[in-house]
Amino acid sequence: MLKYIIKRLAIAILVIIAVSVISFALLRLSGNLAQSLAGEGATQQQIAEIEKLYGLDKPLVSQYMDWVVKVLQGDMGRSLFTNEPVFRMIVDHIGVTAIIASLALTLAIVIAIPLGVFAGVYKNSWLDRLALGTAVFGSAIPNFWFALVLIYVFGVQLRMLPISGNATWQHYILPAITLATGVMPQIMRLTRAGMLDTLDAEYVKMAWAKGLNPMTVFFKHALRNAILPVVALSAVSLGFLLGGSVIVEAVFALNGIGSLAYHAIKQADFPVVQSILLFLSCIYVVLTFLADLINARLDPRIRLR
Amino acid sequence: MTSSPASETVLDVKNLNVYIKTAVGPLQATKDVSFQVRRGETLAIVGESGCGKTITSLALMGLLPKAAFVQAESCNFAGTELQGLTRSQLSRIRGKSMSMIFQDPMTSLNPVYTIGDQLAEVYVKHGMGNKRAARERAIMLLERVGIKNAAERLSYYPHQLSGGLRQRVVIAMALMCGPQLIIADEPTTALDVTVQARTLALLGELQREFGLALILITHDLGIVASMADRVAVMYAGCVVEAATTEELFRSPLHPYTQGLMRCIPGRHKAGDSHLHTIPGMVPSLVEIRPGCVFQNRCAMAIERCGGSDIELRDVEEAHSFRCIMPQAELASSWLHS
Repeated sequence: MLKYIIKRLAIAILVIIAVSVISFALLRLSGNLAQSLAGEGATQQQIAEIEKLYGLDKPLVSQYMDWVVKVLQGDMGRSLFTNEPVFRMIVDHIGVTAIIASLALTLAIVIAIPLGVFAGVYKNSWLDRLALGTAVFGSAIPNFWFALVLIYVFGVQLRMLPISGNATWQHYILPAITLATGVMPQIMRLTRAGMLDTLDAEYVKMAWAKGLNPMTVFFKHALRNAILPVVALSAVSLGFLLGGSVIVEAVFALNGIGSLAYHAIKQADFPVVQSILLFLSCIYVVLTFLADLINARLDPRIRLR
Repeated sequence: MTSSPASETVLDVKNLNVYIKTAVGPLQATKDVSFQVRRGETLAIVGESGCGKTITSLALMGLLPKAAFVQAESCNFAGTELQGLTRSQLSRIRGKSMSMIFQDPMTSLNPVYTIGDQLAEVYVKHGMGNKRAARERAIMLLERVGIKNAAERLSYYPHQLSGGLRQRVVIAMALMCGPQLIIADEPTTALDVTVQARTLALLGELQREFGLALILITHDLGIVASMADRVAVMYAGCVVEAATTEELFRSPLHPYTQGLMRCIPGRHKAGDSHLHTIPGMVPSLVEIRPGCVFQNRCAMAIERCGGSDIELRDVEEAHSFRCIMPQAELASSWLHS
């Protein structure tokens, strides 16, 4: 187990290093930084001063090392526009996004896994067709449209839920449902496909032969073997929800990391864009690592290899 | 357990028919299969692949795929009629008083649970006792099936054990609730030859020790000769001959049984190194014609074989066969082969 963890951890660290190099390079290679910092009509001398101030005159490798050391200390630079520390900005915006992303994933898993299990068990039944229909619906509709429908139905017509901002816990419900609708189908389909494989396995026949209850057979014996790829997919989905919920944040006027990224890109606020990129990449890596750990916990063949 | 008379019938199957639903209508997978197994007795069901042996055993356990359905005159297990039981009534019997040993121990144990968990599960499910009692019984049975350091092995996962050991675990699992009947479907086919003999010997010992009724499904006549008290030979879903093992090996009557016997290597005199085969293949379910199921491969077939279905004929008290030829002619054909 320890050997496995160390191996996975080493891979995670290598990926983070690679990502940091790319994200560093993106900023440095996107035109003359000192020029854009100094603004239009700056003199040659002003540009040179700025280069010196930001260390842009040093060799790239030592610039990278300086940057890494700073990032590790929580110093990701300042926004070119508000002069706020970028680290602070990310911390301020991640909370909302993290809450709706986790809510959305939890909701998706809670619905998709039982649905996938029973769709697999009762293959080709009405339940299976309903599940597949829901999945097609969920992946086909654009989430901004679905968000508007939810707002119209629950906010405007029924007046049950608030539709804008994040003042109370109720504000998180509609965005979470919207996002869950997008990731639910994949989790459901993967669970169903896994179940179709494991339900035919000899050990499931053995479980029936032991006289176990159907629920024990489905959830204990079949699902546990079918769920490994679902864990990996869920981790990636959570990463996607953390980074890709820009539109949903915009529709529900949530000031999360998605809208922070969107505005930074629009204003070409490079330090902010770079830091968000690095931050989200690290989150992906951490989530993948966690998924590996969960899978090792679930399957002794991984853990004891 | 008390010593009840050896003639106590544990399982009595009369005219078991299994059908499989298809797009072109139901196909008959087994036809009027009848047999009994008594306490302490081993019944071998023999035949080539696809003859309905496994379907029969799955039907008894209620484990047939959804597309299959069963019609039988009766299917009496220890005084209970199995037909018409609900799923939950059936699940109280299977694993408890009737258990099954599957062919491949590499796939019949769940890879993600320890063997201790899988052994205890069945015991606790059937209300035999709590987890601690289950653990004690598991240790006892693992030791009994010849697994050393049983207590420690409980925390092993299947992939940490060899195929032979896994099959011993499966055997121990079948014994957890003290069953009356064990159905073993080709229990050694997937094992190395060296392990096969030891596993079979163990199964035989346990059967005597626990007074089990054992149904041994196999295609190996060597195993039949060494293990079985009685034999039912199946072909294309029919029992074509049934007899005591001794009687069957002495005077097989049905041409198919005779053919199987001729296929045993080394049965003939020294110098005859020719390997015998039965020409042709077991017909698939859609190809079965009226009359004798074996007619298209039978060397003795005559026109009348394709007439009406052939009844099982009794020759001795416990010997019956399904062929229209006179018994004397069949017997002489065996003696002169």
